[in-house]
Amino acid sequence: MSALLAFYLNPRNDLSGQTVAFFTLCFVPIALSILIGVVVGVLVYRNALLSFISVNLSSLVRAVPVLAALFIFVPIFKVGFLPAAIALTLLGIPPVLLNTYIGLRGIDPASIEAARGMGMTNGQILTRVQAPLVLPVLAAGVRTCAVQVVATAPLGGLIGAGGYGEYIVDGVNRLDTVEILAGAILVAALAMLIEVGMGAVERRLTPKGLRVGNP
Amino acid sequence: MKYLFSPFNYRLSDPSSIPNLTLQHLSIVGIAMLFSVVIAIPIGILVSRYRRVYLPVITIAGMLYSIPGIAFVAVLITITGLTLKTILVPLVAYNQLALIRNTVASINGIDPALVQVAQAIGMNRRQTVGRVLLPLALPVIVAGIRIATVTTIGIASLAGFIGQGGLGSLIFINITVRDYDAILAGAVLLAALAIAADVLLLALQTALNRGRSALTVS
Repeated sequence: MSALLAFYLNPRNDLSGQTVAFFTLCFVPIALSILIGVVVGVLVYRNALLSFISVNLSSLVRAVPVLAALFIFVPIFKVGFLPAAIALTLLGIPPVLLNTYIGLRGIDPASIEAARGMGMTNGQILTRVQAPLVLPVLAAGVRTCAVQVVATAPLGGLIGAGGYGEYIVDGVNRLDTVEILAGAILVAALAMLIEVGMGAVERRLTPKGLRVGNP
Repeated sequence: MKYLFSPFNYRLSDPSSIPNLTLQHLSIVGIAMLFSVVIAIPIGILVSRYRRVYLPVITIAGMLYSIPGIAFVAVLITITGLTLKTILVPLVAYNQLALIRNTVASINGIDPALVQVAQAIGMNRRQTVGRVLLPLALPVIVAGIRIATVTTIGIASLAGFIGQGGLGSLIFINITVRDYDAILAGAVLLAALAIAADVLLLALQTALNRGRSALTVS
């Protein structure tokens, strides 16, 4: 433990710099995936052909191994932040897109009819009926996306994207147990934090009437 | 793409040729899947009997699943070193979530009335399991195995990171010498293998379900 602490405190290991790099490497792709996934999901869900294409393309992308995705862009963009960020964004889009689509398709048209019948305007229907029904499903997608991106981001250390992954890669190359653990512990803790945190957000966003017990 | 199409990379006598690496990759995936299924399905059956342990078991499996592969492998290197065990343990741990979830869903998804009907028409216990429960549960369990296999093919590439071969080694060995063509070949082969497994197991799943699309819990 004291060796780990000494590693973190050693200014040569630049913990604060790597932390900033790691968080940038995670949050830029997550934000972009949410933006792209939601926008595309909303745009395609009414059109049968477009939604068929985007849903199947998303499932296909999901099957592509993360390592492969990360390295497919290396020949084009060389090493560094850019290929890693692009690959992570591409990995993050499918869960958000699929869940936006499923969430929007899953709304019973009768509830929208009922809202209209009560005299709600389109804006009210969007904010008071559609949004509360879609948000929990969307949050589940964002959770998958965030966990996946955070879990893959350390591999960016292999292509010089910076962040905690560099500790792991450097540690394995030199078989330096302390450095390996220093990177692995931070990465694992962050990923679990996001998994548990986003789980709580997901439950929060589920309207009371829709909360069900465990299956 | 030169690397991918050069006949030099297909000589069977070369242990690091594409066919041999693919075979090695598949054997790692196969061993991992075997262990995963043997562990997860009994757990899934138990959990579906005792509902109260479902949430804790799934939460633990979810937390294991959220550990980044490279971090998991890195920690294990400090314990088991650069051996096959170091890659198999994370693979088996990751598969638990999908497999347990689907096993539970498959058992819970069976209408209890069907079991009663089976008993009412005079089936004994073994016939009920073999002719009613298993055919109904199998497609959903296979759906879980499909998700797990596809993920495993991807994560097994980390075997290359610890010198245990497989298609990932095309990537990890060549990243240090910046041979982008070989890296691309590794990435393309990995993606192709994962997609092929996905399609094949989807076909099996649909066949088991007699053409009806199966319920998938992902």
